[in-house]
This record gives sequence, C-alpha cells and structure tokens, in this order.
Amino acid sequence: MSSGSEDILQFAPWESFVSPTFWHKLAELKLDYDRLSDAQRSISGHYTNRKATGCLLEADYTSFNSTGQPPKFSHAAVGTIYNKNTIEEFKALDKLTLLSNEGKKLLSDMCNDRVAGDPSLLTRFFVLSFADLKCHSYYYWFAFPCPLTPTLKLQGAVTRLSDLTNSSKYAEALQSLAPESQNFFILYANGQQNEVVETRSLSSLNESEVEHYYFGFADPSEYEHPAWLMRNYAAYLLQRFPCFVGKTLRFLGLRYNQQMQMDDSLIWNVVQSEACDLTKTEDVKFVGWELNKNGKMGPRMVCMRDSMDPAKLAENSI
Amino acid sequence: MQSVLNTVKGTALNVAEYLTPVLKESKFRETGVLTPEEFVAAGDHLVHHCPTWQWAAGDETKTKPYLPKDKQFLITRNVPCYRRCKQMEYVGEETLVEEESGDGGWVETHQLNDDGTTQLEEKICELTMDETKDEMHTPDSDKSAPGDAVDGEDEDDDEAIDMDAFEESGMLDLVDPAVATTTRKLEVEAKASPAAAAATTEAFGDSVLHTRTYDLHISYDKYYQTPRLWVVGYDEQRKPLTVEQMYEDVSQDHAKKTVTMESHPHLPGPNMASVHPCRHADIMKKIIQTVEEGGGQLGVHLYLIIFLKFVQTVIPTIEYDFTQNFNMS
Repeated sequence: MSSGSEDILQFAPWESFVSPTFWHKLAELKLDYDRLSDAQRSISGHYTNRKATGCLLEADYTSFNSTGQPPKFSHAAVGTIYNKNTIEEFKALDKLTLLSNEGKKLLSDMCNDRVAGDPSLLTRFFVLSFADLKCHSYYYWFAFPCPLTPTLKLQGAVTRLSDLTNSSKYAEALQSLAPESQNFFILYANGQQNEVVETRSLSSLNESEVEHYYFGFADPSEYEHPAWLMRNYAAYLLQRFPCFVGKTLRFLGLRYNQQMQMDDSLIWNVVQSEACDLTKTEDVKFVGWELNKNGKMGPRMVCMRDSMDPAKLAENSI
Repeated sequence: MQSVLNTVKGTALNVAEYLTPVLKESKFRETGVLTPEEFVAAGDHLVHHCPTWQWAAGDETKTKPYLPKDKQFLITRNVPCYRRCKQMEYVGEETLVEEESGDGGWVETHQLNDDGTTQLEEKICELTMDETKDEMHTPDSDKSAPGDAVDGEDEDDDEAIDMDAFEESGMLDLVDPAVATTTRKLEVEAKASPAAAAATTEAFGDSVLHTRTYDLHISYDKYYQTPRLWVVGYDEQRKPLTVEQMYEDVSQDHAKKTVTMESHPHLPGPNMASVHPCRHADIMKKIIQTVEEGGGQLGVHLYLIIFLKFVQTVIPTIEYDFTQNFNMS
C-alpha cells in the first residue's frame, strides 16, 4: 500500500478482548455493591506491543481495581463502564451522545494538557453494558472515542526501524526507556550534533525541534497500519502545537517480538495540511464505536452460563 | 468421580486453610515447606532471573494479609504451547523420577536436549499434520463470541438471541476514511491451513495451526505451605479453552488427579486448573536431601526455579521459562 504518492494514513481499529474474569467481577460488583445504582465506574484496560495479535485492548478482573497495574510488557488504558439496569435502557440510550460526551472528556484532557503529565489519557475507552444476571448473558459495546479530524497524509513509504542508518543507536536509546514511559514518548535524534539520540518525555516537547523528533508510542497493532491510539496522539500534538500543521511529523510505532527485539517497529511520515480547532467542542464529531463480529454497528453478547450458572456448575463437576 | 472427591476435599481444605495459622518459622530444610516471606524472596529471585515472570496484585477484595499487597502471586502470560500432550505421549521413553509410583508419582515424559529442542521434533511434526483436520472442527471455532468459549460445547439449549435487532443504523453516516479494514493474520492462516498442511514441512514452520497460549500463575497455598501452580489456556484466537481442551495439555497421568479445577485464591470467576500442591513439599524435601547428600546446599530463594522444573512433567508441552539452572550435586 505504501507507494510514494500521498496516501491517507489509516489506523487499525481497536478490538476489545474481554476475559471471563471481567464478567465475573462485574456480576459480583453489581450484586454486592452497585445493586440498583447504574452510576458509571472507572475501569482500566491494557494493551501490549509485544508480539501483538490484531490490535487488542484487553479487559479483565484487574480492570476494576482502584490502582491499575498493567501486566508486564503492557500499557494501561483509561476507561469507564456504563452498566445499565435493563436491556431496554441499554437499547434506548443515545449512543452518539454518549460517544460525544466521552469524546469531550478526551478533548478537555488534550486542551488542558493533562495529557503531557499522563499520556495514557489518550487511550480512553468506554463500555456500555447490560448484565443479565439471571440468564448469565452480558451485552456489551466498546467504544474508543476519537475526534474526527482532517486526515493525515502519508509521505513516502513506511520504514522499518531496523532499516534506518544508525538503527543500533536508536535501539540503544529506546532500550534505556523505562517500561512505564514507553506508551508515549519522544525520540530525539539530532544528526548535526554528533548524533545525539535520546528519549524524552512528552512534557519536555519543544516545538522548534520538531524536525529532530520521532513521536514514539507503544504500538499494539500487528498490521502495517498504526494502532488507533496514534490518531488521538496526532490530534493531541496538532492541537497543542498548531505550528505542526503542514509540517512533516515522524511517528514511531514501537513493536516488540517475543524475544523483545524491536526490529518490527515502523515509522510513518505524515502531514496534516488543514488546521483544526478542537477547543470548539460543539463542532467536533467523534468516531470510535466498535463494530460487532459481523462488521456491523452493534453490541456484542457473551453467555457465561457454563461458568456462572450454579446448575451448570454442579452438572459439570461430576 | 475423582473430581467430585477433589471438590469436596477442596471445600474442606478451604475451611482448614482458614484455620491454619500462617507459617512463621522456616521449615524449608526439614520439610520442604515455605513461609510467606520465603515465598516472596523466592518470587523476587524468579522475577529477577526469568523476566517473563512478574508479581501481580490480583483482585483487591481478595488480598491476603500475609503477603505484600503488590506481591500476591506470580504470573507469566502468553506462554506458547505448540502441541497437545497426547501427540507426544508414548512417543518418547518415560523415565520414572521417583521410585514409589502410586497415583501421584512424577513421571517425566519429555526430555529436552541441551539446546532446548526435542529429538522427537520430526515425528511430532508429522503427527501434528495428521491431526490438523480434526482440530479444524472445534465447535467454538467461529460461532461463539470471545470470552464465552468457557463453555464452547453446548449452546443449543440457549434461546437464540437476535443480536441483529441491536444494530444501529445512522451511526455509519459519518464517513471516516482513516479506518483501516483489518483481518487478523491468524484467521487468515487458519483458513489457509488445509493447503498449508499439504505443503512442505518448512512452510508449516512456526505457524503451526494449534498454537495455544497459556497464562501461568504461582500462588502461595497457605494450607500446604507451598507454591501452587495455576494454568489458564487460550486458543489461537485468544479465546479461553474449555476444561476438556485444557486437559489435552496435561500429561494423562496427571489429568483430573494431580491437576484439578479449583477456585483461584486471588481471582474472581470460574474455577481454574491447578496442580494440586499436596505432594510438592515431599518432592522438594527429596530434592533438598539429594543435594545435601552430594555435599551441596540449596538456598530457599531457588525454591520456585526448582518447583517450575518439577511441575514441567505435568504440563510438558507448555513452554514457560524455567531456564535458570541449579546444581543437584
């Protein structure tokens, strides 16, 4: 796909991956704590850029812990669950309004620059759910809000990190990066000053040095497309530094294989030519609802009867 | 029947565990058991030397007070498991590690060469190809949603729920040119596999169809005062395996006897497969004795490394990291 012409950069959408323990914990919370309350709850998810399959965002029982500790080689995503009391409520809820409300939270984090302090805010997601506790069926719909900004144009071919000259220097700098700050970071590479290559945090970004930057992120995508989260990353950078509009930005998707080598990491050179003001939240449109298994706009359902129904459990334990 | 007994025994032991005081003094040398502090020390050693392992906090409501809050149990994720146990059983020679066999004797079914490969690799590969067709028709391979494969087998008594009724039109009105249409490579491979099976062994290579992955947990069992291994498996689409499927990856001498389904001390949710810890301390004691007879000494921090080596006989095809060596003599 990556010819020399100006292609639109496309992103691999997130796929939700929910562990059964997530539903067990949700059922427990609903029965013992929330009861009739359908107030929203903060949850967390995680994704890995080590030997990624698809572009998965995973949720499990730890999603409900108050202090999320993502598994090793994984990064945290910030989420919310809206668990409704009835299937009718679930169905009738205005999905577009919910998406845009969640999207506005994302925008306010971007515009207030809270993102610089906690870049994981860029990986915001939410779940609309209904737990049918009698039938042990769980209806759920994930969404990964993202402002519909002007498209990024891909400049030239997608390059692999290992194809860069001096790629070992880059790899060395990346290895020194602490695991918890690998989700979003800057790789500074200055060819003039005797090859300075180092990693920096997003908060130290200096707009005049943009030509020396690679905007790095942990990329959970296995495809040639970068993961969905880069879209929010780019939107944030262009919002924070309007002078980036029209400039070539280099994004580095950090990808590890099983042996923790980063040769598969990809670099995209992109340009956004039109400015876009995300502070005018009323004008901004959002996308991000996950498609169901049939590729349609709809929720998913999972039946947990075999591991939850006491009758089934008794039957299976003989 | 064995599993019923295990369940009853398991419940009784939960009560017993509750009443058992936390072990305070080290009895490692005499009896092969661990205190929680020693478990943490051994865990730290394992995490340091085998970087795929890490500490986990588990479910906050299930935190055990005798262990540090962020070091409740150990976990390693996405461990590959390339073939089923039955494919390798009776292919290689078995060696009895212990003299007194009985039910719980440890049988070593699988021996690794120095370079970590098996000499039987080729034979196994042939077998794998023969069984490809059978494996293709797993009932849950395409119908069930991710996550519900805990059941997998019988969904026929569920009333069919029309999920189409939930689909929303109007939401696709926004044209979004920046969304890539992606197909997971794994699925593509699975579809192409009958052809791949017919092709050469080389083409088959690493992308063997039924690569399952496992998450392994080591918790501290307060009653037996030993580590306890838990396994949870996923198929190539990352859907959880059923109990029966999981038993395919357990050495047949151990399935449903040494390996039982019980509730995990730190996790909500369904019962998990676990290697029953009732004989761990005995085996550990034997190993300590062997080492001491040889004039050596075994530090308690090596406990988990040794532990992982001996539980490997139960789950011989799960290729987790136990590469650290220790000297038997």
